[in-house]
Formats: sequence, C-alpha cells, structure tokens
Amino acid sequence: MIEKRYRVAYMFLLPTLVYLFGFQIYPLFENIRLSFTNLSLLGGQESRFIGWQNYRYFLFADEKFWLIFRNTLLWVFGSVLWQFALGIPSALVLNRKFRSRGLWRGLILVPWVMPVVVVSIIWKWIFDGQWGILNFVLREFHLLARNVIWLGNPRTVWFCLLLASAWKGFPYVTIMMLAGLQGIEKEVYEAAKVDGAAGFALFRYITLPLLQPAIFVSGLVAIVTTWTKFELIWSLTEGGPGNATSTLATYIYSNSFVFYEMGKGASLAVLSTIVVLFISFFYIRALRRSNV
Amino acid sequence: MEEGECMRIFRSLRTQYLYLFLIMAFTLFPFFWLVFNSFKPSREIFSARPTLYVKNPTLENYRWALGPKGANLGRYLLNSILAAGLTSLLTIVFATTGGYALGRFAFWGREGIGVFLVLSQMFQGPLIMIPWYKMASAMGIINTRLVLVLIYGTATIPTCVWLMSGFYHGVPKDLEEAAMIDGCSHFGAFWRIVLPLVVPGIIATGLYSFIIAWNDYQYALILTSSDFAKTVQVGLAELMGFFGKTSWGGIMASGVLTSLPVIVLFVVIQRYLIEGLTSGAVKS
Amino acid sequence: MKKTHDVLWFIALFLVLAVTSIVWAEEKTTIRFVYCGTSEPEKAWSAEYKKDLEKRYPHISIEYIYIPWAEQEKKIAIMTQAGDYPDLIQVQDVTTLSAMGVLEPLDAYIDSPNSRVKRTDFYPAAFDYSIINGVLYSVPAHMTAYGLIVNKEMLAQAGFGLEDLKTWDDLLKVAEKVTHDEVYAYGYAAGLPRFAWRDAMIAGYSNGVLIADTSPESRSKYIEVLKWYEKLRPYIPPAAVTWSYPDMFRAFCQEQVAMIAAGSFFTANVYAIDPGIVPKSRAIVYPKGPSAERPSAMVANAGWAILKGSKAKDVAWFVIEDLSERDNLAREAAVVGLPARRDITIDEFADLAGIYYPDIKDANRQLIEDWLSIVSNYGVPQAKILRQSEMEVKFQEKMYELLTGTLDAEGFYERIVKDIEEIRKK
Repeated sequence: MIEKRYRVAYMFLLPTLVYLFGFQIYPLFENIRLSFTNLSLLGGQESRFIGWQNYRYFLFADEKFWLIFRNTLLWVFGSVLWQFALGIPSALVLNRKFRSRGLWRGLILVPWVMPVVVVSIIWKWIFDGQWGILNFVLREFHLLARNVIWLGNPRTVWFCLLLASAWKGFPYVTIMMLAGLQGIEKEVYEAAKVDGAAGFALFRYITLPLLQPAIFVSGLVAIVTTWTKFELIWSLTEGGPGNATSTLATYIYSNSFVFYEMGKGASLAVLSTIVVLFISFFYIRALRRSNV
Repeated sequence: MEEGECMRIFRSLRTQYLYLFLIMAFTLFPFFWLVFNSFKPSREIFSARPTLYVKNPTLENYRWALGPKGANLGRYLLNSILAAGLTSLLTIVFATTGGYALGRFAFWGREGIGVFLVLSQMFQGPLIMIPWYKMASAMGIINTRLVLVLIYGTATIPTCVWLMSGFYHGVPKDLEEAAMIDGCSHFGAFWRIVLPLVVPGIIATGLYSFIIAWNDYQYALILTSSDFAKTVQVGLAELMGFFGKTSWGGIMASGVLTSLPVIVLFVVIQRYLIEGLTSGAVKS
Repeated sequence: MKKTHDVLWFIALFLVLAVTSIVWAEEKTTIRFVYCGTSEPEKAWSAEYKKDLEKRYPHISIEYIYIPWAEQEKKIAIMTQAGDYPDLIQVQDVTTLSAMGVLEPLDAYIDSPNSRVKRTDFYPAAFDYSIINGVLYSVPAHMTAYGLIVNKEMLAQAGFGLEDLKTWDDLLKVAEKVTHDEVYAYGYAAGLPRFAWRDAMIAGYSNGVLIADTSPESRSKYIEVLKWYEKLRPYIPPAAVTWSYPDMFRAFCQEQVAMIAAGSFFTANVYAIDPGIVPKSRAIVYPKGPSAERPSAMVANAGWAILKGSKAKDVAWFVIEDLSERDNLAREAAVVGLPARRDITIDEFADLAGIYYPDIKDANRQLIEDWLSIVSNYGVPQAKILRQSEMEVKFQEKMYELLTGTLDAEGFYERIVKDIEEIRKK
C-alpha cells in the first residue's frame, strides 16, 4: 500500500519536475560555470577559468559584500513582516460579508498590479525632498519644521523603501490569507464561541493557528521572491545613497549589466542562492517541529 | 447564519467599516493620484502646489494611450492578457498536481524536492537571460508569446506548487481512502473529492501566476522585439524616452489602463473565495 | 502553321520565365534596425522614414527593434552573446559597445570614393566623438552640446545678465543673489551616478581637466573642481542629492532653480513639463574655471552604427548613407537635438523644429542659435572613457558625501583617484 502511494506521489509530481528540469538545467549549469570564470564583456571575449577567485573576492576582499548582505536581510525580512502585518488584518476585513465586497477585494490588488515603472515615479514624488507630498502634509500639520530628504538620508531611506515594498506586496499576502481563511470550518468557530471566546482571543487561539500552514507557505514564498526583487529598489534609489540600499539582487544586476562582469555576477548569484537555501532549510525544519 | 458572527474580531459594524476605509485609503491613494493626473492635460500635471480638482478634464490621454500613433496599448494589452492567461492556466495544471504530491504524501525525497523548488525559484533574474535567449533562439521562439509563457512558468510553477501544498495540507486526511473504498480510482478521488476543496487555493495561485506574468518587465524586454509579442509593461517603459518629449499625461493614462484588467478579472472570480466550500465535505 | 504556333509558345514561355526570374532575383533585404527613440515624435519619424525609404528602394525592408536608450546596451549585450546580431543600430557613446567587440569599423566605408557621406560633412567636435583609438564606429546624425542653461528672468530680477556669467567667481556672485527662501541657484541631478558624473565632467571641461584623469599633473585642477562644488553647496537645493534628470528639469520649469548644467536636449525634455519656460531660457557655455584660459563645451552625438555580425552590412551602409543625406538628417535631428551636419542653416532647422515645438518656435530658434554658437566657438568632443559607468558609481557616492558635508575636496580626490586607478586595471 505504501509503495503504491509513493508511486502516485511521484506521478503527480512528474510533470512539474520534468518542466523545471528541462528549462532550468541549462541556465543553472551556465551560471555555475560562469562563476568560475573571469568573463567580462568589455575585455574582449577571452574568459579564463579562475577557480574560486570570484568567491574569495566577495567573501573576503570586497568591502561592500557584507554590508550588502546585511541590507538584503533587512530588506527581505522587513518587507515580509510589514506585508503580513498589513495583509492579515486586511484579509480578516475582506472576509466579512458586506456590500460590494467584491469590488473592494478587487481594488486591494491595485498596489500589486500597478506597473513598477509607474509605482516608482509616484513614490519618488511622494518622498521627494523638495516638493514631495509627504513633506508637504507633515509640514501642514506642523509635525516637521523643514523638509526631510527621505530618499537621500541613510537613516530614513530604509523606512521609505520598506513602506513602498509593504504597500506593493501586502495584497499578495491578503489574497493568500483570504484563501486560507476559507478553509477554516465554521463549526470550529461555533464551538469556540460556545466556550466563551470572542474578539482578539478568538483570533489568537483559533484563527491564527489554523492559518498557520497558509502563513508558513506564503511566508516562504514571500521571502524567496523578495530576495531576488531588485526593480523597486533600483528605480527608487539605484542602491544609493552610496551603497546604503544595495542588496544582493541589485549588486548582481550592477555587476552583470552595468559593469558587464558576468563571472562576478554569476558567483554572486550562486552565493545568494546558497544563503537562501540555508534560510529555507531552517525555515522548513522549524515547521516540521511545530507541525500541525 | 450570519457569516460575520463567526469572526467577531470587530466589535461593531462601524469598526469594520473604519478598518475598511483605512486600508482602502492606504491602498488606493497613489492610484487615486494616478487616475487624477490621467485626466489632466500634460502641462497641468506638474503644478507647484498640489491641487484637489482638475481644471480642464480631458480624455485625450486615454485616446493617445490606446491609439496606434500614441502608446498603442491596445495591442500590448492583448499580448499581456494572452501571455499572462496562458501562464496562469499552465501553472494551475502543474501546481494542483505537484502541490498535491508535496502536500499530502510523506514520500522519500520530499524535503529534497521542497529544497529543489526553492532553488528553482531563486534562479530568476539577469543571469538566466543569456542562456534563455540562446535556448529560445535555437527553438525559434524569440519574440513570441509562447516563450514568455515558458519562462514565466519557471518563475510561477515552483512557487505555486509550494502554495498549493499548503492548501492541500488543510484538507482532512484519508478523504481519498474513503472515496477509494467506494470504488474511485486514486485520480478520480483526487479529481472529484480533493480538488473542489482547494478551489480557494486554485483561485489564489491562478491569480498569483497571472500577476507575476502580467507584471514582468525584464524578461519581456529581452525576449520580445516587436509589437507582435511585446507586453504592456515594455510598452509603458518605452514611453519614458530619454530624448524626445514625454507625454506625462499619456503615461498616467497608460498606467491606469495597465492596472485595470487584472482588477476587473479578480472582481469577477473572487466570488469563489467564500466560506462553506470545505464544511460541505465533512458532512458528506 | 503548327511550327509557328510552337515557336510562339516557346517565346511566350521564355518571356514568362525571364520576367519571373527577374522578379525572383530581386530579393528583399531586411535590415533589422535597433532604434532607441521610443517617444511619440521619434517613433513617428521612424515610421515615416521607413515608409519613405521602402518606397524609394523596394528591395530594402526595415524591421525596427525599438528599445529605450537606458536598456539598449544590455539588450545588445545579451543578443550578441547569444549569437543574434541585428544589422543597424542607433548609438550614442560607442565606447562600451566597441569594447564588447560588436561594432563594425566604418573607416573603409566612409573613405571609399563612392561614399555619399564624407567626414567633412560634419562638425568636427561631433564627428570625433564617434572615433575610438583612431577607428570610426558610427556616423553622427544629431549632436548634443552641453553648457549652462539659465533662466534669464530670474537672473534679471537679481540684477544680472548673461554677460555676467563668464567665470566661476561670477557664477558664485550671481548664485548668492539669486538664492533665497526655497529658491536656489544651481540645479544638480546628483541622485544618479550618470548625471552626478556628467555635471562634474562639464565643470571639469571648463577648468581644463577631465574628471577621469588621475595623473599628478592634473591634481590641482581636479581639486579645484571639487572645491567648486563645496562652494556651490549652499546654492544647491538639499533635495538635489536624490534627483535625476526629470526632477532637475522639473525644478527648472517651476523656477525653483535658476541654472542647470545640461545639454541641447533641454527643449525636448522641458516641453513636456512646461513649454513656457523655454522663452525664459538661454544657453551659454559653462563659465570658465580658474585654471582654464578659455572655456570649453563638450559635444556628443547620436548616430548610426553597423553590427559586426550583421549579414547585410553593405545594405546597412546604404541606409546610413541615405539617413545622412541633408534633408533626412535635418528632419531626424529636429525632433530631439541639433543637426550634426554643418551645411544646415539655423533658419531651416528652426523651421523643422517648429513642427514639433510649435508654440515656442521663436524661443527655440534662439536656443538653437545659442547651442550652435557654443559648438562652433568652444566645442570639443566629449571624452570617451572605458568603464565609465563603474567610475560614475564611485564618483556619485563621494559627491553625495561632499554635498552633505561629510567629505572634503582633498579627501574626495584621494579616494576617487584610488577607485579610478583600480577600475583602470581591469
């Protein structure tokens, strides 16, 4: 019986594996191969095999790497936390029955589907130090004496980036949570109410634990996708001021398509992937322990 | 039975509407500003003091955005819808099957597969573009919507398999056993019993993959070269030219038009995201 | 009787075959043309040109690949690495593309006696911009001149005229008077590496130093340039450290800054924001610094190049010749900049430009005159520096610190020299 179940599982999984293997294996291989060379598009096409040199450079010699690494952690975990902080309450609200609920559910997608080029123009204008709306409003309410250069100050720029990221990404969490909420049976709530639970307690002891698989899974997805996102940061600050907002994703991009150092860019991509693998590994382990 | 009663987090109807208002205000204010500007003639968009009314409302920007001389969005929207739609369907097929395996069977290599999926997810971005261009060139599918669907698949399938596995996890155990005792094949049990219970998940992953495909800019930029397959994101980015005069009003209108299709789509399908789908199964 | 019939049939068949073979022999050559003018007027021009060319030469067919300037190099790098070569490409700075080895040298084409386009047709400064290590890589179409653009009304209000801006010290005097409340004198798009570098490059030219020059002889001139920005600091809006070009142009249009260092694409850029600023604007050569005898203005161009891997190079060259013909070139240049050919008069050009910028035709004419006089009197080809984009990044980091007061000119110099040397070694 067990044998048969395994076979069924593999059969169901087969199409996916074939597809991914088929299309990903060549890029993956190329990437790893490139990381061991010093290919630069600007130095003629002679690329040599240089072994671990690129890796050694980034891990031990590059003064920017560890700062960028820390930035990446801040970017990823900051974004994801804020997205869940906004997404879960939104899902709870949008799960209630009220008029034109469908319309509001549709509109919550707006940040997620607005094109990145337009989103960055708008947020740049909101944060602009000279005529931005944020400065304007804060000064009208006398919360600020002088204009703050939001995107130009290393101390405020992360707040702005995370805010823009949370805004753009929380609809995804909302939808996932909304879908997850549909799976919670009414009877469970009935039973809990009979026992006298209500309000926040109801949320904390019934809803939240039952949402856990959804939270866990969409959380991991959010972490991994945010890790490789560079467009939003690039269009708002290009990684500046200085390298204050550079992340591994923007660093890979600038090495590959600004400096045209393909070998270096490839090795960064490999390093980046290894880190994420580690994070995911521990994340999945943590789930297994607290498994429902 | 009042659905609201089950989830008495909010003490009153008023609080509920207050939360809704706050969330919507936060969500929509940049979009509102975009829509606002899209009805202004280009020159009024940059006035020094932000104004709350539109002095000379005009539809000119929309006409420009959709017209063949202007942004030609009509064609690009079609391409985007086709590419994103096909990606979504493709992903749903793979995710519902793969996620089923991952979510309900404790088979050997399960963790390994999970890790492989994460790995697959990570291989996105600038560095896969040269190998992909070579592959697509060899297959003769450069500048087609098909190549876009294929590359989007590599981004959406790993994620959606993961997501679906989470949804399958919440389905009561041994439901298939019960069905198979009654004479169903395994696949039949899957199709007729389990699948309807994860419809919210299917909606969510379908939407997710549609949006990922819809939002993509980098891949479409590199892999398409003419109006035949160009998507709306690339078309929009082209409007922000470096030399020539930019039609800011046109960009605003284009931004609005690019955002609308997905919203409309979701408003229509979101009705399947309602409680009650699962409780039915337990009774039977 | 029958024999004549046969002969007639035979002749008819022969004629049919002959005609068919001529028609079949005239194969169409498709030229894949990477064109980077993606704004509406540029695209319109390109569509018109294609129609016109294909009517005159039916055996040529143009297939455009539109791609914005910002993404052009990236896309060509990927395409060529994957073995896919278009034929013709619109280029500006050919340094990176030629270093990648993807551009075809054009000397043999342009020096051939049959060539319809000659080196002497163009302004020397603009033409030299297309030459790297003595090899010609592109044929110019329109040219960009860089200088100082001033709002003459704001200047007049402070009691100054254009003639009062001859040296850096003059500029400081004007800046001091013009800056008050939230109005500043100098707009500097220091938020993006490319523009932070460019502004300093313009200032450097006016002081006789190239900001990629790390030789000890240039040290004092270089530091003067950096000190210049220190002196300008109070007159630059604090938000400028986050600005890119659109922000800077917007500030200029809203009269929040009185002067900007920019190029002849000024009109095209501000027209979309507020055309009313054009009549108030004049372009002058950037005031000269303490170490220069006379000012210089850097000149760049945008032109056409052929890709090495192209399979239709001769036809591509034919199209370039056609594009470089007087009328075609003038029409193309009128959309976005200045003509690179010397034989196009100001009046002619201003009229053509008036098609695209109708309501400011006269003011634009004045600007065109300003720019062309800058080119004639002070124009030098903009230096082409390999790996400039890497240097730009390093430069902008430090300029940010200088503008926010955490780095001084000497410190800046020491560090930037080290960085540039390192980049050179690659």
